[in-house]
Amino acid sequence: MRVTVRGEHVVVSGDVATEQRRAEVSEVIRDVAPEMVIHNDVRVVCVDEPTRREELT
Amino acid sequence: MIRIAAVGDVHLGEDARGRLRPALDNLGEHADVLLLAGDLTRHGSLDEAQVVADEFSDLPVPVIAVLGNHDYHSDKEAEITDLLIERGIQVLEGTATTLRIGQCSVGVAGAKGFGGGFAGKSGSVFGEPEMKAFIQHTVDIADRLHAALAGLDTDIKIALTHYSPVADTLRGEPPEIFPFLGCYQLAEAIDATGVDLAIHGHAHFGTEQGITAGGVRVRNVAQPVIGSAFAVYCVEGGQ
Repeated sequence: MRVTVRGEHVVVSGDVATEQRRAEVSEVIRDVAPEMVIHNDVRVVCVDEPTRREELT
Repeated sequence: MIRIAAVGDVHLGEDARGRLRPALDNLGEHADVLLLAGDLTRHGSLDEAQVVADEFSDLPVPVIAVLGNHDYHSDKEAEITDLLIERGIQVLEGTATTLRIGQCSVGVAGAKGFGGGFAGKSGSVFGEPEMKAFIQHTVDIADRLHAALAGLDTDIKIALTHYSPVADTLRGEPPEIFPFLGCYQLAEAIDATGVDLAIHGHAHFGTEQGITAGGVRVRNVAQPVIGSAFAVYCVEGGQ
């Protein structure tokens, strides 16, 4: 997880396993820094079947 | 052609139960074996490990794992290992296992690995006791991986770690933290023992593809990197 602070803005990015964990990131930041504007760029990681395979020859 | 599925850093917990299962139910159509590259849990609790066991047990192919640093966080790594083994998941730590897939023998040696850094930017067993202990842990694990790999006499040989053996697959991570993401000693073990493919995780912001100084392909299968339930690599070997 990456957290970048620019003035009154905090940008958080990275990947988590569920939408709930993504929401928790904003909740935690809001608790510790209620005055900051939060930009939650965290993504929920894709767990679909792969669409390709790599042949190592 | 042997089909190797691999994924790391799934960080499962009760809130993610069953999330991977739809893709895993079709695993047999994609692969002959599944490798798990550590950080299977969030905080290394037994409750989380139970979710991991449920998610990866009773699959149509063998499952082989190493633990990652998150899986050690609650000091329950031995219990987690036992739990996974009970559910049919092999857990390697300085050890190896062999499989026969068709006419091909496949050997997998695994270890968690540790940090320490890479050429020209690494720690050494020197100075304060704390620094010596840090790097000695790195060296000890790499030595055990080396011995496990050297003991394999199989058509295909795979090294499975959590920490990275090369800096290549860390591109995208801040360079300042490379020494906490892997170490060159793992690559030395891999290059000395005729490995065909090295699999690791740990570097969520890294890149998938790399290579050791000795020419062994390295793949970072941290789930945020591969962007799917697992990655699949096909390796030639055997007749």
